Amino acid sequence: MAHDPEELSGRAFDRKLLRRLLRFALPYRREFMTSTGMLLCISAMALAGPLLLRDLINGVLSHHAEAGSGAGSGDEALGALLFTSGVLLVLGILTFGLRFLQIRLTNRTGQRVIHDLRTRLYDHITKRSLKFFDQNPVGKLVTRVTSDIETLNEFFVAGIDVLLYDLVRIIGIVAILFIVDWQMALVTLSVVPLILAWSFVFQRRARRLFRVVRGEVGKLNASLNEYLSGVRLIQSLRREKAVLAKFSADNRSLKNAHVATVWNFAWFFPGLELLPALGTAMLLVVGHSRVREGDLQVGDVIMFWTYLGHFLEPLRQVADKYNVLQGAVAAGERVFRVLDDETALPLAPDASPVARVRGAVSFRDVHFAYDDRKPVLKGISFDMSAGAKFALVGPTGSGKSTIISLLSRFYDPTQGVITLDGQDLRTYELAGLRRQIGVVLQDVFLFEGTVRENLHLGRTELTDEALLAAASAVQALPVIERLGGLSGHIQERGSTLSVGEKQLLAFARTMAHDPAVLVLDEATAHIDTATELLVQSAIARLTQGRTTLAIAHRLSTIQSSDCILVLHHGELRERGTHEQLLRENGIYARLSRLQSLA
Amino acid sequence: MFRFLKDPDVLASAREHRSLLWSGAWAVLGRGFLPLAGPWFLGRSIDIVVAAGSNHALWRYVGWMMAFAVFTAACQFWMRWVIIGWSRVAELRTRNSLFGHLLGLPIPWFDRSRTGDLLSRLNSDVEAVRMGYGPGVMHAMATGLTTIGAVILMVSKNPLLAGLALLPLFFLFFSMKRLLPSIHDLSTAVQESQSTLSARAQEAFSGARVIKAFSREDHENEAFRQLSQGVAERNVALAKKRAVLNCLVEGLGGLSLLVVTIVGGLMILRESMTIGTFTAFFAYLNQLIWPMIALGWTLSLYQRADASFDRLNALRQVAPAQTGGHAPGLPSDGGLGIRIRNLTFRYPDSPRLALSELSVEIPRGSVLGIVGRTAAGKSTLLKLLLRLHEPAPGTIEIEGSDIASWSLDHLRQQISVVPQESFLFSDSMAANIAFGVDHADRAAIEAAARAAGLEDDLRSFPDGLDTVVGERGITLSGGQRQRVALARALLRRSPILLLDDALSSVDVATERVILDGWREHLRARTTIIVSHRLSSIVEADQIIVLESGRIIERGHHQDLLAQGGLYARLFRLQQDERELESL
Repeated sequence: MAHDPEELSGRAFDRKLLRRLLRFALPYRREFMTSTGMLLCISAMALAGPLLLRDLINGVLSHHAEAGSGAGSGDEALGALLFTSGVLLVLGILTFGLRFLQIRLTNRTGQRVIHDLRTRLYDHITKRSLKFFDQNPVGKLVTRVTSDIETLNEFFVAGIDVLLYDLVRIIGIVAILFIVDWQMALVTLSVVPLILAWSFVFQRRARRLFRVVRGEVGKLNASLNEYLSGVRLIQSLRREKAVLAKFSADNRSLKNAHVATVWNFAWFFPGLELLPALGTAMLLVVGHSRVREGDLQVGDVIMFWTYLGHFLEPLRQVADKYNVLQGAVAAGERVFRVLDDETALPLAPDASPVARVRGAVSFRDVHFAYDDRKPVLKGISFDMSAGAKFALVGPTGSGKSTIISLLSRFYDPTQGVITLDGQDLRTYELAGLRRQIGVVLQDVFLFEGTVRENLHLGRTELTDEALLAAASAVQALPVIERLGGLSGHIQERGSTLSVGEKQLLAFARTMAHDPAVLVLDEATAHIDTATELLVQSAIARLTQGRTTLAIAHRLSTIQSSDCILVLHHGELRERGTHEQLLRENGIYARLSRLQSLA
Repeated sequence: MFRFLKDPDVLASAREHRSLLWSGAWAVLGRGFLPLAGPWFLGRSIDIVVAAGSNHALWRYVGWMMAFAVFTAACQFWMRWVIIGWSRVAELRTRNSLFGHLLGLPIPWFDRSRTGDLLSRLNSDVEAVRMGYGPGVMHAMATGLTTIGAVILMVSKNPLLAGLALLPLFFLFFSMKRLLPSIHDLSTAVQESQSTLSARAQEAFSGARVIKAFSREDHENEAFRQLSQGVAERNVALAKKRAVLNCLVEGLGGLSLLVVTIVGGLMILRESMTIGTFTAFFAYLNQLIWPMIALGWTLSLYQRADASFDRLNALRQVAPAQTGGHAPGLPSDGGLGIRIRNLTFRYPDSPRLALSELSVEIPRGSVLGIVGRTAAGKSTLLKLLLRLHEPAPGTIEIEGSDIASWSLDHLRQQISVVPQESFLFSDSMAANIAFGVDHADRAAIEAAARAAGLEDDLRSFPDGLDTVVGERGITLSGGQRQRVALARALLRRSPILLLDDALSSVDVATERVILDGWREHLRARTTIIVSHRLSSIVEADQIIVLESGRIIERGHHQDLLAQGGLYARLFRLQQDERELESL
């Protein structure tokens, strides 16, 4: 995804995109069609009300009031009144019954579509290779599955058919008005452009002002968050007054942003009520003269007045829905860009399922570069027999972590072959392969959830006894006890645990999963040296009987290795046991001498 | 109900803007009563149309109708501008005063509180209270007045018809009162389920490597699918409630109109009512539907405002840290002597002693080094010195005077601390370095930056000292952050300097340069250095090794090496590590 998410086509009605969005609704087309049909019925019935009322007034009531005539027409008039009322009642009940069913149906269906889309997107993202995650920041991906999907939700639930509903109502009213009397129709509709213009101007300003408010809220929250997290420092240095003054300034600019929106709406709402009143006044004046000329009856005037009221709501809705549509297209475009990203490892169609492997690992002339840029590894070759302990030594950036990533097949080498038990990694079934390779990285990642979940990581066949036995083997039991046992809760990212404790949990996790090959990146930073001693003895237990490739930071741990690989600028510069390397008198030997001098 | 109206800051703000609010109250009155003229003149006009009366008479009514509409609009404008505008001003005051209060609360209280909770106190709760006394009160008054007026007018025109037509609307009001809170609860539930979902995605994407390493994709997707299902179900439940609301509003409103049609129609037939009045009733009912919804809505606003007000009040009632005390005279240079005697400390809610019977003497101008494992009590000791937590009286003395009786201001003026986690604000480098002092000239800031070894870094930054760091600026490495924190402490020139593992991320060579540059600085003050990395403290006048809150070894570097205890072991291990790194 080379494009910036903001850099979109910008077209509101990208037809191809809309069609693709609607394809997600295809499985539910019956529901959508039913709902649309219901909406059409509802609009038709809603339109009928004022018409019926007009006929009642014109046909019966006004004559009666005018003439004050005899009893003969009285029964007839009463009959007409009761009949119209009866029809109105039935229509009303039908309308609201249908409306309720329709809203429920649309929501249910819309939510299903959204659920499908969201899980499909999530599934797609989690199945991308690590390269995809390198290229896409987490925040962006989270936005795709949350707020973008929510925007589409609005489109499916309240967008398509409600837009249709409102359009039908508007067109229906306009048609009826013109059929009844085109002059009065023009008078009635004359305020509509004013209302639209008024709404357009103020709603556009409101959107801009809300953006400002959101920005200010964000800024205030960020500084608030900072001040509250830094409260110990603030108090230690007695800076309360200065901080309060800064906070007040931020707070004040938020207030000013709010007040700007208050000013905007203070103008908007009164105008929105004044304009229909103007329409009513014009209707009365024109209507009156038309009635006097005998072209119209009073019922018509009342009908026009009623329709004017009915007109305003859908009008406001349509303006609103245009924004929804625009938002949905933009969100859809972003979502599809992720769905179209096919960054994944090529999987062999005839991948062999993995039984227990012995754990012999070979690198043969392995080259690698991230993103076709500077090569990170240049022709790495080495062989590890099953159960061998290898150590990787080298300065930061020499390619140690890359070798680890390639071995777990997070990436494929750009050239050369890596084999496990003599078979190319690419021919193994991926999940099975990774089950054979245990990785413990410096920065241990823990999920929010129970200790148990963090240890079995989805392999529910691991019993509590097995987990505890594994934990006890790597001395992680005290940590688990402190957390309240296997059912104890681990905070997001294990924030309450020290680095050393997290490391021990990661060892327990790997021990329980019992991989044939172990890949270790020893922790160095942020861990105190004393805890480090504990960690070292745990590592010794963990590596027993497994092929181990470790990035080492301690000479003492290296000396017992079967082979030490000295990596420099992506090349293997020296290899051999501690003694051999000493005899070779290269980089490693120099280092060792330095140490013995100390 | 209406507890939130007693918010002290809001009351103070209301008193301050008294005359403006009075004008707003008049506008509310206008907004409440003036719209009632509309239907009345409409009815009259229709009667003229029916009777085919004179143009002149019609024009008069229509003119009045428009005049009232303009007055209504003017009142509405003024009401919104004054009352809602003021509510934002009052909100500012509440938030400022709460934040000021928060800043003075004792640190142990912060240890127990979550930042997220405090944020929502200052955001959502302050906002919810404002919704109560601002828009809530305003709309309730305006719509309440309209309702009363419309009911009176309708009853005076035709009591029977009014009674029958209003019945469904009162039912609407009561159902709103019941429905709106449950809609609010449901939408909160929707939001909660969405944020759970979002947190899950956040975690899974951040942990993509682990998920892949353990082939956990399917398990993860299934968990997400269930969360997504939950979101969908809650959304549907919410939509259903909204549909009920929608139908109630339209249905009951329609029922009212139907009653008018039937009963009013009958009355017209019996000649006890004109078509104009009939139309006016329609117009009044249209005017009443919104107030019924609004009144129900404001009631739910009040409930929320009360709940939020209670939470804010609980916050207000937390007692601030004791800051009073005396300020003994102290020697003006050469640092201050510190004596710690039998210091024992336990964190509340912790079964374990963090420090136990610790005694150490730190003469003026000397350097004390502290070493120990994680949680050995090193940072606790520094916190007690600063009285971020209160030590028992008589256990810590500075220049022979018990610090427990000092004023906090006086104590903390004597001390500069560089905490373990170097805290930087999203601001310029200069502002970050000068954070600890009221005023600092540029030259002093530059000198402090130099002493902290920041010179080269500053040269590489786009705007030197004015470069913005943090979230809205450039990201500093751990080592750079620590050195900024150091410069901040140095600029304070206080007689006591506390370094809590303050150089852990600074590389060894830079550390050497900094420490060498300081040698004469350090003599001018009393310094306590806590460090995992022993190279920082080998030259200290005195080193103590802590284990579970007790001193297990003490002496000079050479003594400790000779003792062959924990210190000696740690020292050899670290040397080892450093050699390998330098490869």
